[in-house]
Amino acid sequence: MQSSTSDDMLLQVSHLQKFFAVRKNLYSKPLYVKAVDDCSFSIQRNTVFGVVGESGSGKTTLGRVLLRLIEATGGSVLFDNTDILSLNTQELRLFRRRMQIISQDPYNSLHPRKVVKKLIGEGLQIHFQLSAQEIDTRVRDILTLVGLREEHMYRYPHEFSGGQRQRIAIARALVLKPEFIVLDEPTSALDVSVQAIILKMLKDLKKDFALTYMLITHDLAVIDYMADYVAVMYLGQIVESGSKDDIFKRTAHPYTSLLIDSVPPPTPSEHWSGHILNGEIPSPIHSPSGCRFHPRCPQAKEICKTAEPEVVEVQPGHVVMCHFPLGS
Amino acid sequence: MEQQRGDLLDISGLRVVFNTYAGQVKALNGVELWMNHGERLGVVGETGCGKSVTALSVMRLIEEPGEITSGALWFEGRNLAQLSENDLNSIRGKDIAMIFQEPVAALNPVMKVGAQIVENIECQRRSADAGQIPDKRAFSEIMRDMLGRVGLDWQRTENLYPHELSGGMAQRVMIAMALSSKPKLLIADEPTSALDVTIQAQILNLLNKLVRETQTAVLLITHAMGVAAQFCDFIAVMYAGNVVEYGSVQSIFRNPLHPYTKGLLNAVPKIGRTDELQSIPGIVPDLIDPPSGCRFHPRCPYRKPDCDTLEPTLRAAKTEPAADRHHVACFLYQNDA
Amino acid sequence: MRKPSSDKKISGQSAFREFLRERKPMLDDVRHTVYLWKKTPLALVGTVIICLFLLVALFAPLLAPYSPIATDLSRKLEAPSAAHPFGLDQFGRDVLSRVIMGTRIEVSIIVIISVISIVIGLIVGIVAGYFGGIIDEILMRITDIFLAFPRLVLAMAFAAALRPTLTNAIIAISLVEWTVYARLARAEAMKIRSQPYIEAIRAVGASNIKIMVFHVLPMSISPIIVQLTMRMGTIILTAASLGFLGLGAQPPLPEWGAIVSDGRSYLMNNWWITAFPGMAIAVTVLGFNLLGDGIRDILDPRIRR
Repeated sequence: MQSSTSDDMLLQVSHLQKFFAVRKNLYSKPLYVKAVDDCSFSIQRNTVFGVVGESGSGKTTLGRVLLRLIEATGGSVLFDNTDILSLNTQELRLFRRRMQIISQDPYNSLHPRKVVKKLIGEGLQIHFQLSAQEIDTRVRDILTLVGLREEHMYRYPHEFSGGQRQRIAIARALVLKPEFIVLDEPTSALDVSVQAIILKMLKDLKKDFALTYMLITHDLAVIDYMADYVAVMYLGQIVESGSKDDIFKRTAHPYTSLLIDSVPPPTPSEHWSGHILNGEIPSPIHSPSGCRFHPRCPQAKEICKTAEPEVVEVQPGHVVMCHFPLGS
Repeated sequence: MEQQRGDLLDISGLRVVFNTYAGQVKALNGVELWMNHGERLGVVGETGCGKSVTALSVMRLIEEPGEITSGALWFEGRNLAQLSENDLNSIRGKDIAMIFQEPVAALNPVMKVGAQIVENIECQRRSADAGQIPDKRAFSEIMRDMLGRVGLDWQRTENLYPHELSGGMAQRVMIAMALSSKPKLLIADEPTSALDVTIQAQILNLLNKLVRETQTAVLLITHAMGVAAQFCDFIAVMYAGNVVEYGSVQSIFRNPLHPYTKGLLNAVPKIGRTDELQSIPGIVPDLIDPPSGCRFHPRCPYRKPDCDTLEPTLRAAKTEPAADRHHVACFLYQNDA
Repeated sequence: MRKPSSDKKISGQSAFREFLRERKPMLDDVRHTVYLWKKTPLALVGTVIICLFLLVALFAPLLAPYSPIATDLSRKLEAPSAAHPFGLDQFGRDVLSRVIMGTRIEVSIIVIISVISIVIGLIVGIVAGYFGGIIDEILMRITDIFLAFPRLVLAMAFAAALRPTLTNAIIAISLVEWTVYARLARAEAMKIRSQPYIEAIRAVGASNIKIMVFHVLPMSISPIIVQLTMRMGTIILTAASLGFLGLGAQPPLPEWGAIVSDGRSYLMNNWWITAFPGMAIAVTVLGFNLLGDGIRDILDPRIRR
């Protein structure tokens, strides 16, 4: 699976960094929040790459840096063998069409004073030279495709439910015929029954339009349902990545294992909550020395406090950043 | 009034409406729920099903433009729906305590955490033994003890302001405050929904331990099926202002009867689940103009001819042991109706 | 995705229907606004006052019974009577006619100052708020410099340096007035900039100019409108103060402040010369303030559905 050539890779990210400077006052030396710290990974065409982590792990920043909605501090992002980070504004605009984002909050990601037709048609106007008639047709078609109706064209976002708004956001991204979509917590504001519909729709759309997704979420069950490959983030670093089975069945990082154990399964069971991950995710301004997970890690040894672990490949395609990977 | 079904709380026929610009929202449509001392009842359902309104009704915190139009709220033999504001104040916070989804918002932002807990204890004591001089030192002792029991270091925590707490710490403080009065019932409205999974697991474990020690009953409002499955003894499933199914956690999850419960459980993603997710066709109804008869009938795959005219009531399912208390409001299981 | 759109002939009637359908949400919005308006009685009072004020200004030459500048020294300082309800001033001019014609001057002062200061304020504020960083710093420090001028002193300086005319007074007021809108627009732009829907439109590939004009500007306009109506009262007061001090409109222009100033030496015995234009100022300012409060309530998203 990982033996594929680089042509199969739509996105190749290496040593990506995003630091935010934080000053206590104007004259103090800035401290750096390492939101994304030296992340490297590749995303194969037509796959779903899941990124999972707690709040403050940097997963949302990662998605935005990839699309250059936030400027990176360092590293490179090859999209279809073009370095996105070195493009100028004009060149970047051409690439914008090919990589889209659907964000978490369906209540705020749609301009409240624009009707649906405008919301969806805006991108078409920017990227394609189309007549008003043609834009009208395309908006109609895409609405039907995401399960909305033509009469919804002239309504405002506040007239829709959360699930319908997320459909509008999907339509807005899809109408540009992108190749790559970042899904940033696409269903975490939705009810489970609506989540089920949206997730299924995203899966179908991926198949029909040969899309590649990067799915960012805190919900491991959603990752398990959607993703082919998974990266687990902790304090700005990818601590483990591999195929879905590598992550869920052959877990190597203690953090991943504890994260999976803390999800309450939706069936009554006698033995849940045996493992509790102590403490909370530290502030990214003062990341712990050595392995960043060591203060919460049940297996931490002396070396973990001082030396940052190397990235090791425990199996082909399954990498982990730990001195003592599980099961080895 | 018939015999109270649960010896702690028995809600029967509770109806709540909200009068808005667009019309009257029939938020609760005859809710039936009951629980005994020391039990944990989970109320699950999707946005707008009325689970939070039910919780607020028990505290009698429904305010304008909302109104309890009918129904009884029996709490240890007293009908909360008919108590005066004064009598209610002796129950709120004392016998029934509440914790919320946004703990930081529920704390006073300009008061230190320790002082807030002490003040809270003082309020409850004053109504309990009126006239006696409050012993501040004793209250501080209780506060420190409670902070310790929720796993916080009191020396570090008591002098912090709410904004200095993380979400998990703030929820621990709320729990300390709520349990300091040794309530008989703790209402927890989505207590872990704003928290990360690892913190959620910590909070659930803590609550589990504390309420077991104190024999406090918990009414847990949640949309997370996993949380309800792991924490509760009994489950009530709500849809569009009705309890559609009620029973032990085993009976609800292993043998769901109501078509909505079945649909809901099939929509929940689960680690290791290999089959496709099933969704429920249609959308949640508008409660200003709810469907006639069974409110679920427009979306129900097992709809029968009478479902759009007759309203089903919550009745015991006959097939199971009484200890499971399995009840369902659906004509599929009420052939005599 | 390949569903051909039905070819329909666009006759005049169906084009109109299409036009209406496209704007239906907007019409619904207007209907909702009217509903809220009716529920806010004070806003209604303000609206009535301001409407009257504007109508009077529009039809001033028809409404004024006499010329505002025609003097009749034989009848000077005559008390209010049926023929002259507001009395006559020290030159025998009809005070009612002067007050009525004065509305035109007040309206033009308000319109000119508002347009100048809103245009400058919006451009400066939105650019500063949207880009942030060093651009924001520079633009806001410039704003602070203008804000630091007390407007009356500035107007006096203008009058002393150039000539005390209405135009110079308008320029002086505008020079300070735009800072109010600049700060407001900046705050709004900063808030809107971080909204997810702005990020969404950036992800689609819109340019900065387009985002500022079509997305940030429309969203920041409602607090500006509220502020504008509230400030209109203040603008009238400032203009009247300048007129009163002899630094703005010059006699015989019937600017309300100047009329009040005219009558101040006769205040003890001939109160009507000062009282009626003074009341006109007070009522108009009150009207604008009530309207401003009302609009703020109506535009408040918390009470809009």
